[in-house]
Amino acid sequence: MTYRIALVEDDSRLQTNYAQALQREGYDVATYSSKPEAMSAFARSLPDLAILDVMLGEEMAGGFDLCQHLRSLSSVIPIIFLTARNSDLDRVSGLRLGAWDYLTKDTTTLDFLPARISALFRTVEALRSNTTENKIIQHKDLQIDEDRKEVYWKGHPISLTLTEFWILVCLARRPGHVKNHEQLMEAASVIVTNNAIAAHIRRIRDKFHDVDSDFKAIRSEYGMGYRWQP
Amino acid sequence: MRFSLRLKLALLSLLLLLFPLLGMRLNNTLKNSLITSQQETLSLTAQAVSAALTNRNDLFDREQFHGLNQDRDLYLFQLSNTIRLDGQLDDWRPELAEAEEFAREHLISSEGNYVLQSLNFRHLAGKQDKFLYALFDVQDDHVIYRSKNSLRLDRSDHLQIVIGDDKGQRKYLMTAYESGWVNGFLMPDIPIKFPVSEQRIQGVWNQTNSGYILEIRIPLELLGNKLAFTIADVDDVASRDIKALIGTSNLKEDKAPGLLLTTSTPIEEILKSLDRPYARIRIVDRNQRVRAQVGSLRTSEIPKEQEDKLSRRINELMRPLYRFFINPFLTEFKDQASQPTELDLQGIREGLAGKHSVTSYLMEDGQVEVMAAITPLYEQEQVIGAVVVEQTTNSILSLSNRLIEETISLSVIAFLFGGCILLFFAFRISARIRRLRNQAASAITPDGRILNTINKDSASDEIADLGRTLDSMLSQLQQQIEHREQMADNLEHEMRTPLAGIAASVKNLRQEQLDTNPSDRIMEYIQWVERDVQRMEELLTSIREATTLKNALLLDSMELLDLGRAVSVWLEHGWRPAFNKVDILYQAPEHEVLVNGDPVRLRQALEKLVENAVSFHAPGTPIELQLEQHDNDISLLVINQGPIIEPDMQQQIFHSMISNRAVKDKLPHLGLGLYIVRTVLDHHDGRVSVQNLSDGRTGVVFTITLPGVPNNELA
Repeated sequence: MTYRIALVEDDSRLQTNYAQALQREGYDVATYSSKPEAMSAFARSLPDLAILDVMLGEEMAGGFDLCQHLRSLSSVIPIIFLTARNSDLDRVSGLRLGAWDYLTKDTTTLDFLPARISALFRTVEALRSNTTENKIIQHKDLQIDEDRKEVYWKGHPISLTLTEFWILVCLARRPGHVKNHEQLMEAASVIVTNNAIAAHIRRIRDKFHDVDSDFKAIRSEYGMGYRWQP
Repeated sequence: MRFSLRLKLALLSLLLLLFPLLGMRLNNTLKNSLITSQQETLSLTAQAVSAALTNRNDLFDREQFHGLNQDRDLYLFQLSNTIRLDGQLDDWRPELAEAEEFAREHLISSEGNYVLQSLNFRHLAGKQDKFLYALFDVQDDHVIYRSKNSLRLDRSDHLQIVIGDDKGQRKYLMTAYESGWVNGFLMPDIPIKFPVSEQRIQGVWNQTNSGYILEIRIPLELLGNKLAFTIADVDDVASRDIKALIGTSNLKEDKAPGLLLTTSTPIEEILKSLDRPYARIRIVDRNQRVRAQVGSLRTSEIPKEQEDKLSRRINELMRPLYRFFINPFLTEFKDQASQPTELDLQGIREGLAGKHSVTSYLMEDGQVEVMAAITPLYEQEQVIGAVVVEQTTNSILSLSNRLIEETISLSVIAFLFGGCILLFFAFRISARIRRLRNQAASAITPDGRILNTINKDSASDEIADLGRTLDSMLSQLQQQIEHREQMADNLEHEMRTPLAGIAASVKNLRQEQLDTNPSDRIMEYIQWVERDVQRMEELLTSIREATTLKNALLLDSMELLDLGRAVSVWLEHGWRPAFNKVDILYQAPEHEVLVNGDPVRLRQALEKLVENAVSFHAPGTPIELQLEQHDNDISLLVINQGPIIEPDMQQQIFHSMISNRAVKDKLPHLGLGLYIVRTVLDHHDGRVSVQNLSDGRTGVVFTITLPGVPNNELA
């Protein structure tokens, strides 16, 4: 079956470029330029995955509104945010969207977008299949379901985005081993600066802190890298 | 030399001292004009007196202003003390000083050569009550008393008195048997008659070591207008001949005694009727003898104004100060009880020669200044005397002094008061300007950051305006800085979407081309576009990092970190591989050097410094990192040899978008690196500074200083 992807992006050239790139990957892409246009389309039928630009026209947070609208219609549709502003990332991450994703609009977006989309579809499928033979990483208080992209710390679920999830998995697979920035970038399928990795780590730590204020398992190694050491 | 505003205003307040000077000047003018007017008044008074007396022939005849002979005339003083007939001189003071010496010049006759020791005497005559008193202090080497056996009065030392009046002349003799009471004898006109005792003429004869003193008194009613005294000296007890005669008038030649002159009651009556208070009017005859005198130099009490307590206290406080400026004068002084026989004032001779004049002289050791107007007195166009009108300048001095006192008091009060106000004003203005200066100075840090604004001054004057102007300048500057930083952020954001679009288009192009077996040239072009797009993105990313750094730092978490070890790790795994053509020297300390910080940010900051050092280092020279632990802080030095930084650039290079590079290299440089260093260090309560090397090498040293971690935090 062909997955249907809704792409909401106000910049028409970027929209067309992304749409054509995704169509080349074999997806069915529906494009919308504004929030009302996308909303009326969603009312008719839901896509299998939505790529939302955060800023739509004059609306600084039009993408967030659309996201909430979409969530009210379905709780399982994967959503990927595209942002031009780094500062939006914290807000996206804070939305607790489940293991969905966000990407900055930059020169490497198209390099990583297909991989992420397919990863998200795999997750959707894993969630649907409901099998018990999922790949589970268990280390002390930490439990990770790699297929379903689910993370538990001391029994509490932790809601991570796809990037955050991949970084955590990279660290947790080899507890005690230092992963440097480059390794973490590769694992997360992004090309970002050291500071962006640090920001991701900070967000992951924050989310663990929310359920366990004594969480110290992600250790910094002189700013060179990080290791999982509960 | 630097004068503060405060000092200048304080000095300006000294100008208030001009007021007393002006007051003094005014007072001087006033005093001079008062003196002139007093001179005129006195002069007019003198002329009025003169006019009142002029051409009263009868009066002057009667009062003996004519035919005066200074050698013969006797002048009666008004005696100030009560004279007791006791043969002592004391009670004759002070007029005693005016006593006339009688010796050779007054010799009437002499047996043989006149010897001074043989006979000479001092004589003084004066009026008191209704008596004429006369004193004879006789120097006589042989005092011969009257023989008890002889009735003759003239065979011993004796005094002859000749009284002349309208009826003729009478002659009296006084002699003594011994020291003691004596009285006069009226000598008969015809020698064969006997002398008759005249009890009303009394005296005391008192022998002294050098002669004798004879004091006598004669009732005024016995006297006429002429009088002569003659002392007869007898030296030989056996022969008892009169050896010498010395007298006030030479009766042998002149036949008549000299005039008996005294102050004239009729003239004084006339003068009194003129009624000039506070002035002394004197009439002198041609021999400068005072012939009439009324009035006194004594001024009436100068009425003191009623003073309240405050002004009296001020007055007392200021008294020492007044002394420097005022002319002291005596209000209490003695009018000379009796005047010298001759009034010898400057101008009096001229007055007698027919000239008006006004003069002044000092009395009582200069404590009293007396002004005298002198005008001649005419009788039938002949000067027969002079009018002398005198007055002290006390009233003027008192007025002048009061004026000076008030000027000084008011000036001092004005000076204190005005000075205080001026000083207060000066301090206030100065304080406000200082405050403004300090605010302006602290508003901008040396490296150009605006910390705070200037407090609005509620006043509505120029200083407040200046404050407001400075404030608006600061806010404009702040806006510009914000705009500059905001602009970078906006630029980055606005460029990101088209850049992403270009990248996506190129990506699609590449994919499309791959399907159509493209030429290498086309693939090369695509590659170039991709590479340039990537370079642009790197640029944008570095701008974004710098502009969002402050906000991003707030989200970071601090941790304890061994900086010594961390630098080793960063060097080994980051900088040496990255800059493998440059030697980077670093000696890690043996002990832990703990700081509280975000390792990623500290590494980022140090990396910028190392990058900076690498791009500026002279080829072939190493870059040195030195970590030093001090008592309270930790410093890390990044040293490279190469071009130096001008001192005025040393602060600026930490601003955003400031680049000091002379040469461009292939890496993008927006002048953000050092700005990031500074921002990160600020966030860690540290600082960064740059100096040129001073150890003989050419180059720069960047110093990062971070607060140390107190030991108690380690636990």
